[in-house]
Amino acid sequence: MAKKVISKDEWNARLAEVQVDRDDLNKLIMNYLIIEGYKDAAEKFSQESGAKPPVNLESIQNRMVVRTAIQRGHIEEAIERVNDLNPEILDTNPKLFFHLQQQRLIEYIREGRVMEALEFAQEELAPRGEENPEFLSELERTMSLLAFELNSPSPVSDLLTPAQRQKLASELNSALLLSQSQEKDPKLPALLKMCWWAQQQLDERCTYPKIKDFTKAELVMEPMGAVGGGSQGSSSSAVAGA
Amino acid sequence: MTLTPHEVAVSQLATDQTVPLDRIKSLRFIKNNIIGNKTKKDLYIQLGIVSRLQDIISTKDDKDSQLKIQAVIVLGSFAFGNESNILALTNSGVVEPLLNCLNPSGDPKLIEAAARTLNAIYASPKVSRQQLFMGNHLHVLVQLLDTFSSKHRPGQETVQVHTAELVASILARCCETLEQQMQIADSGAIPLLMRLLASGISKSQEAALGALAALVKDNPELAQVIAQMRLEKGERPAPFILRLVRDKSPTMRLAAATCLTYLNRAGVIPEHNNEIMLTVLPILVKMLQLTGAVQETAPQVLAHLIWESETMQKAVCDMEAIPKLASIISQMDEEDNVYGIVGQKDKLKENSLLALAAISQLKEDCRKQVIEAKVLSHIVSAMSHPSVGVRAAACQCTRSLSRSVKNLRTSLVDAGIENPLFQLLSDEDLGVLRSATATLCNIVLDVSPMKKTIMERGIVSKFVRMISYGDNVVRLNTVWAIKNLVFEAESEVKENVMRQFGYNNLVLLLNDSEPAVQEQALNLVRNLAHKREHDIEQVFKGLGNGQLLSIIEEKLSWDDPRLLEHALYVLVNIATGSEYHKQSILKRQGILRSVLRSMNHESAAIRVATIWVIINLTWPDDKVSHSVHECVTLLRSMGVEDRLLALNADHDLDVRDRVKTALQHFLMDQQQYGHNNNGNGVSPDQTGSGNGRYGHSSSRYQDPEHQQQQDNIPSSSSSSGDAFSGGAGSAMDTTHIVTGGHGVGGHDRR
Repeated sequence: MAKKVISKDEWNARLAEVQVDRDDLNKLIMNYLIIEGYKDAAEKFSQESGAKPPVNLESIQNRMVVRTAIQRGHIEEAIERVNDLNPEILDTNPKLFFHLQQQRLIEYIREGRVMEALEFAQEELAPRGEENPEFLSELERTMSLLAFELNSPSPVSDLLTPAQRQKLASELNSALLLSQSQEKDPKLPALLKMCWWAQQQLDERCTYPKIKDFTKAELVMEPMGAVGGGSQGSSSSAVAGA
Repeated sequence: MTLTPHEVAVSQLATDQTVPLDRIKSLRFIKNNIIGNKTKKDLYIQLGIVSRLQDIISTKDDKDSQLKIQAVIVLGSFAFGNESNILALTNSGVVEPLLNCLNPSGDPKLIEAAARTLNAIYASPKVSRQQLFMGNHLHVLVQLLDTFSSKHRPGQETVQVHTAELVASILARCCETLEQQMQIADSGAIPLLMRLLASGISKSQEAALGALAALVKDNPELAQVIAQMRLEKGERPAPFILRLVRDKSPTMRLAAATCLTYLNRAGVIPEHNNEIMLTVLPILVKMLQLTGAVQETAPQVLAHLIWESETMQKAVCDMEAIPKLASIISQMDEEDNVYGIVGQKDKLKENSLLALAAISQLKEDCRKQVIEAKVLSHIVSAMSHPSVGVRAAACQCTRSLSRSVKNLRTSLVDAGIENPLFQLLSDEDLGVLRSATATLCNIVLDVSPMKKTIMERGIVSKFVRMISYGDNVVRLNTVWAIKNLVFEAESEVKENVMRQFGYNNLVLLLNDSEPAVQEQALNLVRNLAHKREHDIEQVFKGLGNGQLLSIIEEKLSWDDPRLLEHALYVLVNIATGSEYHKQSILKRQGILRSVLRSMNHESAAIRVATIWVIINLTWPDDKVSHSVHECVTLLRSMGVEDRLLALNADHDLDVRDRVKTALQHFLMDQQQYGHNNNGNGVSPDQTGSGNGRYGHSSSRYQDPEHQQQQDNIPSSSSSSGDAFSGGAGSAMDTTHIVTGGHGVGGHDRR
């Protein structure tokens, strides 16, 4: 079946018909900067665009200090900061609290402070495992770090990667955002995913100027013969992603 | 001996010499130790920290709020531990100083911290709410909801918004009684909550929904007020909340669904019925597959929403809610087995059981699905669960399921419900006892094979304890159960039951303060005095000479339709007894006058009952034809026959049919003794000659009458059953349908 072809001119003309409020765009960007914690950028953007930040910029700063502490492995400091910001968060979120304590244990092990690690696990983590069986297996996995050489590959070496700290930093960031009535995910990436999905739906029906590289956002017309790549499988996974 | 760092920290709180900065440092140390850590919380409480904290927050010195703030935060963290921690705090009297910390001229951070700690304390239902409603506290609290006022402090917006959220949540937790709801409403909270609801700040909106839900729960008056309010843009709250039900955040969806559920139950938003069916129901059902607090609470809200609504129960059933709930319950049992940890998810189990009970409350189809979901064994084992709430909920389930005759005969027996149910009849908890006794009503029905075994276990001896329990519902259910137990029973069973239960207890129930209990007690008498002369005699004897008819005479004089019908049928049954029994009725002018008066009662069922009394009293009997004649003569002299003739034109078919029979009796008497014969003197002479004719005609009239009567019984009594179920707790409507004919069979003489 022949696909409908939409020329670049026609596409641009149609795009021009869509009214997008500049304020909405600015809000979208501001939303991204705030949630991701770019305080300085948000401040600058606010000055240049006139978009008012919906929250106190101070709160971004606070979140970023916590995030940085985690990324540096200063877990205790991060915990104290969170407790200063809102003492309710770690009291009402046992999973997050366990993950923080688990990371403290990982940091002890990383630094080779074995005795302290054992003592800490016994005093702080074991009782949490008793309270909640879900935590037990995670605790066991962490403890088995002690059985392996630190720098050689092991089934649990992923715990020592920066990604592990990153994961925790995001979890904590989300909790802080939620406690401040903010979305935990920025809207922009979700919109991009939706755009990607829409393009894949369109691919099956017509040939049109398409964004291939989202960092450039250029409209590229596909050569006529080469279309049809958008398979069923990938489009369905895009749905899930969106 | 060296002190642990924890002991040092506590000791530093007390010493007046310690510089404030060091005390703050100690408090921060303690705070960071106990947050998230239940073991450390316990440790510090044992070290006696609470009274020291109380001293700090009670000082009038407001110069350094930091110290107070940290102390209040530490108290709050204890409250997040568990209920015994909370009680440790309240027992040492922290609530009052915390309420004082809310003083609006104080440090906003202190106010926020105090609100947070109070909110955590009020999470326990065991904490008294009284102090909050004393003095100026409620007023101060409600003012804190106002984040829009001119008292706005720059730089403190976030703190103020957060405080308002915490206050809304406190208010939600302090709506336990109607009086509390009204006081909060009177304090002006509702308009401020409305503004919070429309604020667009998600946590604030959730908190406002929680408070509004608590205010309208079981309170139609406030529900009406709130439903009629306008939000800032002129919109009513209900459509606005309906949009929040579709929010991205599950907690928001749940809060909105809960609020709508209570508004809907109060009947103040009928125009949104459809949307609630089409939107709120499926959203609640989907929540069953989430995790955490939302999954835990959703089934409870669901149960509340669909309670007593057949349409909604059917709809939820069609959404496959039953298999979902069943898998939650059975999965939990498996986890308990694996980890050996009980108590983690009690609330989820309780609420899931409540939802199952609600879904299977009215529709047989839904009950069938519950049985097919193979969850019954889990329900039965939950009846012996350590948590009171779970036991009560499980019992509620068996109560719903036992309304099905089929289940009574098979599934419930197979699942072994009898043992745990018997145990629950001695439960300490009122809720458990209420649903256990309600289930019992169905278990002792004739169709149930468990009737016999539960009798053998000595159920009757428990009845005595249960009626003295001091709870109206338990007492009502108990009488109901006894009534079902003796329905159509052998004389031996009836005697056995009454020997153990005691006629003195029956008299107490007949004079109970609760009309519904009286009604069922009369129903019990009706069933006891049914069918055999011997049985009637037993009741006469049991209640003591003349007592029975005195009681009936009194009940008839009340003119309460609920009591009237049963009292009349007691007479119907007695009138099938011996000559002595009939004569005892006829001697009571008061009774006869009441019957006569009730012949014109607005309820057809009652008119029918009165005519049955006449029919049975005048029943032709060759052996005592003279007394029958005397009876007819007496009734005629009172104007009964005229009344019957007038009823010939009754609009109710049943009434007309009975009237025909009754009039036949009068006609036969007339044919035998002549029209003008009112005197007593004539009849003895004619007794002998009358016998043959009378015997003949009696066979002609009695048989067709008997047929008709059987057709009639189930329909008339099931309709009466519906009327009763309202007062008696809906669980028993099936009971009623099944036991339908109690005592009406009184005319069933051979």
